[in-house]
Amino acid sequence: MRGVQRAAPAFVVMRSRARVPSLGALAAPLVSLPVALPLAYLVWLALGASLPDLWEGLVRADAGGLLLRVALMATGATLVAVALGAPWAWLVARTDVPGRRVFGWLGPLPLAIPPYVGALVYITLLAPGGLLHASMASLLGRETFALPYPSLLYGPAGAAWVLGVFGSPYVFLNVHGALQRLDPSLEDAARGLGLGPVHVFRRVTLPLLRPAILAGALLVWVYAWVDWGVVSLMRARTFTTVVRTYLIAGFSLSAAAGLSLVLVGIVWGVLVVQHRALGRARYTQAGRGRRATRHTPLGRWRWPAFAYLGLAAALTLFIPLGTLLAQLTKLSLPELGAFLLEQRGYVWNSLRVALAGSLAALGLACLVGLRSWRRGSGGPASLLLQAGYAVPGTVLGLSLVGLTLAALPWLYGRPVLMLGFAYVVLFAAPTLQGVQAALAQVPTSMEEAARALGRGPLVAAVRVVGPLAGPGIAASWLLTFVLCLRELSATVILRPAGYDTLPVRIWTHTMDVGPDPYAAAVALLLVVLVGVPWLVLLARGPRGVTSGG
Amino acid sequence: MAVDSGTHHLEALGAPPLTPREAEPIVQLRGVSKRYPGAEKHAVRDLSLSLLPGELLAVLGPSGCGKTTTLRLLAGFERPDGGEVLVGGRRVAGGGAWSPPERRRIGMVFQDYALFPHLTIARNIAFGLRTGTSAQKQKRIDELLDTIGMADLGDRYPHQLSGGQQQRVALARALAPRPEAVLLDEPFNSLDASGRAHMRQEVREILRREGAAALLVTHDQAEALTMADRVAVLNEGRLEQLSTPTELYHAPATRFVARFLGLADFLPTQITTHKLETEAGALPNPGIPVCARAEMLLRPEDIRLVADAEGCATVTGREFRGAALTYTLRLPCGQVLRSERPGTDLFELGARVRPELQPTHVVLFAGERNIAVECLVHHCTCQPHH
Repeated sequence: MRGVQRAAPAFVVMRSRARVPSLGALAAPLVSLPVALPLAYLVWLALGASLPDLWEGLVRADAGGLLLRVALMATGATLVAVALGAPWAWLVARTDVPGRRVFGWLGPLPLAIPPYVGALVYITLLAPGGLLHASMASLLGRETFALPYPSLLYGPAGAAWVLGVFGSPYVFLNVHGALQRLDPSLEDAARGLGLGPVHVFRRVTLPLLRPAILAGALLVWVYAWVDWGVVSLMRARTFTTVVRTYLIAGFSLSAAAGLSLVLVGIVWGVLVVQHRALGRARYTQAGRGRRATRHTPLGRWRWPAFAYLGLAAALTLFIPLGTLLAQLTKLSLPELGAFLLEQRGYVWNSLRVALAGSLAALGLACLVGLRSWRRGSGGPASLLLQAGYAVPGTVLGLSLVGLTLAALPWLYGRPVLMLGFAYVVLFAAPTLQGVQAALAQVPTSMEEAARALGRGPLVAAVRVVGPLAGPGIAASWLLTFVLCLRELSATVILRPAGYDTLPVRIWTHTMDVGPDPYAAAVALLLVVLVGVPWLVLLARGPRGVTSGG
Repeated sequence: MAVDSGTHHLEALGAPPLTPREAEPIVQLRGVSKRYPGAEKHAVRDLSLSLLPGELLAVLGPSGCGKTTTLRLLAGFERPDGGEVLVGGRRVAGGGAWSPPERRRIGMVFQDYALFPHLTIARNIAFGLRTGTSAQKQKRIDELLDTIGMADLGDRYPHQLSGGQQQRVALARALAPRPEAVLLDEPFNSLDASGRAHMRQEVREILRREGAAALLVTHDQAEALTMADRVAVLNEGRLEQLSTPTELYHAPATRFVARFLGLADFLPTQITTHKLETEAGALPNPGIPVCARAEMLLRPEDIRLVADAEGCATVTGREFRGAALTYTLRLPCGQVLRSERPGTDLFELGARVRPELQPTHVVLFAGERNIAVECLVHHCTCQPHH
């Protein structure tokens, strides 16, 4: 062997290296560890209790009633989101509604407002003694004013409304993207076959859009199940709030784990069904050499449609931002300045953990993504990442707290590691999706060409694959960074005492002090921090965007 | 297994004379097998091939025959399950050895060219130049740009070039580091018909000037026959025959090869001491041992037609091809025979004709493989055998 090497330096025959798995082959265990470990621990916790105990825990939590109520709430949220997002997308993409360019541009913007900030806005507006009450009272010249149905704000109905309104951009993005990929000649063909515009919409456009609408709707539906920020602020009782109550009150951990597993099972089940259903019904096709889209004239419906878009934009964008800004005006400038200066520690905390989490997720995604790119298929690693993405933040928090206290107590005081780990589990899947989309633009023969020209894998990655897929990979990282930055439900459980991030500040301030101007100031700060990278991403053109805790 | 005799064909082309003893193969596959995970059949099975210095070897076969796998095994993008791969006499795969693609010194021209879109033409060509001063590198780049006739286009980017130009750049880039051999993967696929004919000559010429050995993978038999010194025909992962183009056409080893290269009909033949008798006529036996039953390979150009109301064949089809006509005939037993005639040789559908057999080679098959090859013309390079 040695003799061979010496005789032929140009051909280093690597007998030993052939047996060592490559870095890419390590990806699967590397990915499975962070995802599988917390879940395995949950199962172990749940099994720790005897079956009757577990059953009693589930009964005491009224798991059956809970299931029904959360399902109702999620469905309500989904209806609101579809009603707002789907017409918005169709109107701006396919009709001559006035201002369609502006509205098209506004469509994805509300994603810069995290749903829990939306909850804060509606509480600020509608809670007893809130902005609306005050202004109505002063308008009517009365001492106080009460809304006729105060109970609608707090509870599942209010939570459904907030989740729906701030989930609507997911529907918008899915449907708008599908409309852009949809070959307009299909609609033209229907016109050519003698169908009027209404029939074209009903019999061609709508059926072709169904998968996109369903995908967006399911995103909102699942989000409603796993959300904790909105429902806790709106005082709605769901799986996540019950799990957290169990955790804080030190009730049976195994009951909490049992409830968590029920929730995880539901979410996974829905995602599997979605995967199956959408896998079969992928109608939208990129039209080659697409011609310009014809915009259906709306006739006398132009201005009503415009009013609808105005209402939707007001609900998702103008009212929330206006409310937060109106709250700010209650503070004097020095007050505001001093307060914002106090927040710099939280800003730094947020950026630090978001940076750590997003970079780690990116590293993992690149490892798995490169491997699946070369093989032309996802493989088990990317499936595992999907599984991690579907774990609710609260459940992951519960599991990681238990796990670290039991096995790695030193980790608990290290927020960057702890939260970074959680963010990897939660957001590696959307990151991988972005990385894979970026790599898909690069033919694998590019890397092979570099290799055949005598360059090793590293040089090929740095000089060929990197420059070609770089912008897309950077965008994917930026999206993950934003997702980490606004993560609340896992962060609030996993942060060490006193280590607050901006989302945690917003939540605790609203819960402890109330929806006062200071809460609005922190919320605006977060909206700006999230909004700037989001605008950068949108400037590249909206692509597949995914939700996050 | 296969008839391997192609070296004397090179002399006719003016290439330096080689004898098999002198020519150490540059690249060699020895009994290589490869089955992809999850696949039922082997992509490549027990395949042995060697590429000689300066030659252009074409690997020809229908899609899915394993030719691209062969290429990827050679380049190092796939690992063989069995057998070994040698480059320059050195084992690079098999028997526990493994060299990654970058250590093999084998250039590759990809089907999609795989030119780096973010680099200029000159920098694409320079990509594989790792040793030498920058002046030496520049000299090599200029030399290659000159060879491919694009001396003033070095600053362009790939997307600014035509398909044929991209093709030449891809070839120049692969040749730049002076590899032991270049592999070309269906290189003319994305060109239109006229560009294809031109680029075949062009590529042949560039390879000759560089003195590089090349292995060309293609499913286009015309491409293989016009360009290659030797052709390896693959079918279902196995080597059917490895020969010169003339021999492949005139003396196919198997029925598959006969059918894959041009039109072929097989007529049942009675072999007697003096005659080879078929339903369409008889030929004198040039010395083939008598045996019970065989089938004779007949190419359309081997068959002349004579108008004859008493003729045994009926014209059932006529296909106009410009300079020539291809007739389909039916013989009394139902056997179909095709004949290619000049465009002026007109017969109506349904007409009775008498076929006349005028083959240049007699090839007899029993079962899938041939049992006898006899050459009826002088100066032919094929090797008759019985």
